[in-house]
Amino acid sequence: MEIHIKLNGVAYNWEVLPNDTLLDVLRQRGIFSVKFGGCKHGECGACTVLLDGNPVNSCAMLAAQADGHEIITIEGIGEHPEQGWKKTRGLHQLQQAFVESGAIQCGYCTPAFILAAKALLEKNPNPTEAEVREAISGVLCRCTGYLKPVQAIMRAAAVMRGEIVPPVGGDDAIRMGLDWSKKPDLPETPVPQTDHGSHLAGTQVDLMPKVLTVAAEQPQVLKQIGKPEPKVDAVKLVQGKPAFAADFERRDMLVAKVLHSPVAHARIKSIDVSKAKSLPGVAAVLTWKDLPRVVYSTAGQSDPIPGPLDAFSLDKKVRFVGDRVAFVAAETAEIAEKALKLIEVEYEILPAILDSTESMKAGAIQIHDEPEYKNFADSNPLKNLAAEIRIDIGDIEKGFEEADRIFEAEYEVPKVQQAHIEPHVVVTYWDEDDRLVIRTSTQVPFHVRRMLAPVLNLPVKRIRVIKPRVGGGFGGKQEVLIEDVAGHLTIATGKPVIYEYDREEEFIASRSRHPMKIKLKTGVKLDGTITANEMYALSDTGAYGCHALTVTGNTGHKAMALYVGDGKYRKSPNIRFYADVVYTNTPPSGAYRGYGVPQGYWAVERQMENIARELGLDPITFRLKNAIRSGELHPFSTAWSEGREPRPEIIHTVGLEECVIQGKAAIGWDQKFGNQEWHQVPGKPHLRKGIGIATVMQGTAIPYLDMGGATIKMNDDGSFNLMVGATDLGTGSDTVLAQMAAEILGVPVEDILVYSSDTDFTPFDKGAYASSTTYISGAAVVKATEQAAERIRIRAARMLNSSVEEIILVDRMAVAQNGQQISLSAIALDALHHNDQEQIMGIGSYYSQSSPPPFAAQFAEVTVDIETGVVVVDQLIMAVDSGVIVNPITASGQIEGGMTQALGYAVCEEMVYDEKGQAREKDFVDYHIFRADEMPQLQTIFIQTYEPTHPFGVKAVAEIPMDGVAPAVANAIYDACGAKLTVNPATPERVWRSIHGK
Amino acid sequence: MITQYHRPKSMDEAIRLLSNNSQKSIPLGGGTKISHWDGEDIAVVDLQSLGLSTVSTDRDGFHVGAVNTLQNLLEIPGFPIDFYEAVRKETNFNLRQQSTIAGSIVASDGKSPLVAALVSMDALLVWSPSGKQQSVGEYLSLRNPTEYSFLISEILIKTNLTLSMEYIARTPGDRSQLIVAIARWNSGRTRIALGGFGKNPILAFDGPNAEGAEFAVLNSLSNSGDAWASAEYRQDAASRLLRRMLNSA
Repeated sequence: MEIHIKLNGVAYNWEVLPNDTLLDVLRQRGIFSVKFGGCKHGECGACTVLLDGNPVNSCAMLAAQADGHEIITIEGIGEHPEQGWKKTRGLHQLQQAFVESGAIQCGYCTPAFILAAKALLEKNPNPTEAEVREAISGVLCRCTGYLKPVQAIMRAAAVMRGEIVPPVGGDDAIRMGLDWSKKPDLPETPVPQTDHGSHLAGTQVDLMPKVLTVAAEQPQVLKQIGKPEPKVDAVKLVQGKPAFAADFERRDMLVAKVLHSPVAHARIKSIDVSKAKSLPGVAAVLTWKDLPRVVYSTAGQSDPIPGPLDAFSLDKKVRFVGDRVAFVAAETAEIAEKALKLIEVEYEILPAILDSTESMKAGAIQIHDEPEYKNFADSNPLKNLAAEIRIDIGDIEKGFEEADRIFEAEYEVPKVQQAHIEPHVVVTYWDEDDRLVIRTSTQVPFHVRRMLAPVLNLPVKRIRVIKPRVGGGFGGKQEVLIEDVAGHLTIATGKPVIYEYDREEEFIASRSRHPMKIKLKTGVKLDGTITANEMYALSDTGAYGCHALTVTGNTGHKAMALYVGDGKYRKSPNIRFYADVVYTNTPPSGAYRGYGVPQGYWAVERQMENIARELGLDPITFRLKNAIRSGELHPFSTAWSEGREPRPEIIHTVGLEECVIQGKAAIGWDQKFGNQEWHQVPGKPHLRKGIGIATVMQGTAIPYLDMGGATIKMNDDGSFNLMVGATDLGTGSDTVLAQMAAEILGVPVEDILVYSSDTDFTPFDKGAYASSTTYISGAAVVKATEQAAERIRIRAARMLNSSVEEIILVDRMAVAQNGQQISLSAIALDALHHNDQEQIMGIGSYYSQSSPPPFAAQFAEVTVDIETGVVVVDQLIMAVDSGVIVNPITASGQIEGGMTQALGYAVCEEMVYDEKGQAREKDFVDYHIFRADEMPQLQTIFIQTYEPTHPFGVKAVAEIPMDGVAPAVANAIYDACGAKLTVNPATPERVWRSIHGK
Repeated sequence: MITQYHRPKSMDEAIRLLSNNSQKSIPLGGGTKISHWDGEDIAVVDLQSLGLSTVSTDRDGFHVGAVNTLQNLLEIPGFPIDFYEAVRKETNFNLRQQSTIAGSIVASDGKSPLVAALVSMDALLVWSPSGKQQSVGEYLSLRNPTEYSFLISEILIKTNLTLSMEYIARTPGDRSQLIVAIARWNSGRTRIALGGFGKNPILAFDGPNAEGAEFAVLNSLSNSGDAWASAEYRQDAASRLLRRMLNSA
């Protein structure tokens, strides 16, 4: 059938099928800004378009319904302001505001936000914050926490009304050295006046986070470091350019689909694909019989993989509902889906283990009985044991003997999903040299290449992995999850193949956070000194052991390291961490932002709160009394290091105490804690308010292992190409790496062109995980750039008749001590074309002997309905010591987004399975992630220490916001109503049961 | 799979298409549920050109055309305040631009706050071409239109009542685990609908006043336990909410 539409002002007649969705039709015609979020009923809103001026989800309507209507996509509202000789209208004010305000992280949902905002502002040019939040509530974002998009929209609205808005990073820039707890006398940022009163106060004013520098040595004032530079990829993303893995066309590309197991545990007795193969349009159907039997791990980690090898691309056994049974490639998705239904499989059903406490019991069925299984360390498939950890520090029994009180409790944390809005997606094809190109949304392109080579029976050198823009990962894409599917099908057919998960596949056949059952035993003296602390974690790795050892190891390594005890225990803490990581017939666990640490802190911080309350101690004083301090040995550093040799590490910088001071002041702790009147809600006798804290530490990269590389080369005009293997998932790492290079070269960030990453062209990097990119890859960039800078100085000295030592690089110039100067572009032309020609470039790589921990104090304020158990989180404040902050806007975006994910962990997110292993959550309806219109107030405070092991003093920021929210919320619930939660999330019924002793 | 798409320009044409026995035909409202249909082959009959997005009032209440979007409902003054809240909680902003009121009723499950509100308000579906009326509650219990009825042309929403609704969920924007909706008429008539579980919201109580309401609510929830909440919890929470709501009325 033919439809007539007006798209971005141009009339089109398109031939469509009755079942084509509008999303399909737009993307088939190259409108790639409209994104597929994997959902079928418009839950995520990434596919938003304006239909006759209203935001609608194009995945949830037929193209035929749009016949006769007008459609606007982001392509129709603005474009790059400079396109050579052609004059353009430039970016729309909303696009510009999103760029300036740091409202873009991964960028996958950015076009949808802007379109929704455009519809709002056309009807209501002066909206309240609540109206903005409602208007964008149809678009889910997993990166930002919504604060910066809301700020951007309010800012754009003001600009569109003709008001003057303060520049970001001008007067608003970091106020170094101010003590925010003492309410310094600051020049207030002018608040645009509106007719609505003071509704702008929450979001528009504070574009910049508060930053307090507490470094013993004040770092030198720098030009780029610490500046809220717009992201280097912002202009691209705000236009919805085809930057992501699926935004790609190739002639004759086939669509892959996977048949997933409907049962939790079974052997495949027979499988008949003849009907599927004979379906017109089907190019290939693959089963375990067709593929080489190569055992591997899907965990994207360095060699050797620190875990068992227990997976096959396809196997004759299925181990969870959602496991792979067969692959299909067909001309269209519809044909591939039909083919899946024609595959006939006979299963021999086996008993399934769905509860981790059953896995190691005598007589339990063995989930991995394949002879190819390869153990790592203490894994033992006979016992369904993927990993075992036994760490003893000090003398735990003696510590308990010295205690006045022993506290024991059991805690539990659920399986949860990363829920990146861009699903897993990969495109594979043979290039003209018969090399397999894998274009994939991954955090670990170099691990993909290395790990897939044996699986596909190709040498590493015949595989090229291209990582385009990634639409969020959060650990979920630290897995070589689906690249093999497309790779096998391209090998089988010789044709390009695209494989894109839908949202249900993300839930049933992806990876998730390890659920754990945790026992804690803590010895304490009556004065609050911790004498011994013991944790046992029973961790559920699901059907495969990916990240089993390392995730669970970090549960102890980070969460049990913070409280070493006071007095003599500081030098010799008594800590025990034992863990068993067991297989079950549930979807595999894996890497998820925080990597085992949020699980540990749920238990530890609930335990600390309970101990303080039981002993009548101030919970904050008690924590700080026992917390690790600068100059002390990381207690786990001599005991465990992700399956590798441990080496001692001194912690140089600990800003925790200042985090507590600033966070307390920001949330008004002293006015609220213990104030019975504050806990009441006037006129609402069933409501109680509560306030809570959790203090946490993380790590920064994996010492003696993680390595990143960088190269940089100078161009004719004095600009630079910076090529890094590091992967920006929306974190802003490309930007902060560019800022570091720009700082050294004395150029603006716009002169640094970042390319990341391609295994053929960029240096190796272990990938984006373990909070390592700014620290590890950043140090590599510094090394490479210093080489290039030295070559520039040498040439400049020669051109200026000066000495190399006298040359400084600043404002795109090389300046000699006598004031003579020459531009970098002149130096570049000299080097490339005129005299003693050379390519000015640098190459550097870095691996660290340290993993300096960031620290944080997380505060939460809640209101609890003591009759029904309903909890509303009113406010989250995080004060964090992440060392020097390279870019306060991108860093605070990380904190806000992390707190929001962690808020889901606190109150609503969990993955539940029935007695047959069927998932309860298969979409964003049942698996609820926070929307813009239901968010609590968020605030970020940075406490800047200066980490001496990094050239710019940085530590990590990415993962630590995941750690403290859930326990802080639970501690606030306890403060409100006395509910002692041991299991998260804090659902209404769990809270009700705790309040009412059910 | 959707194999045919029709957009009739008159009700007669729509009825003719929907009564076509050669292929199953389904009315298409906003399409948010049907657009990914992967069952048997069907034809869809798009109602957007039939003029069913009108709203009128008379002494019976609001006559709301079937293809009014949920967002349209929010822009019509005169409903009880909690009715707007029910519409807001039904789905997110984007989907409210697309989802029609009739489509939301037909595609609803027990967690629908809009339908719980409509059940408590004793709203009526008006079917075409028969013109017959059917209460929302009756339709939901059978999921079957009355005889010679192919599509819902309007929904009659009574407004000579007060509506209060309480909603329990994990977050303010999450789907409900319990909904208690109470409609009260000046005469004292009280209707209570419960939702947050099951295939559709249920009518728990309809009496000349609220006497016996709590017992009826507890009774209605005795088998409400599911993967999301226990019956014990729903009963306790519903009785507390009910008392709170009746006391504040």
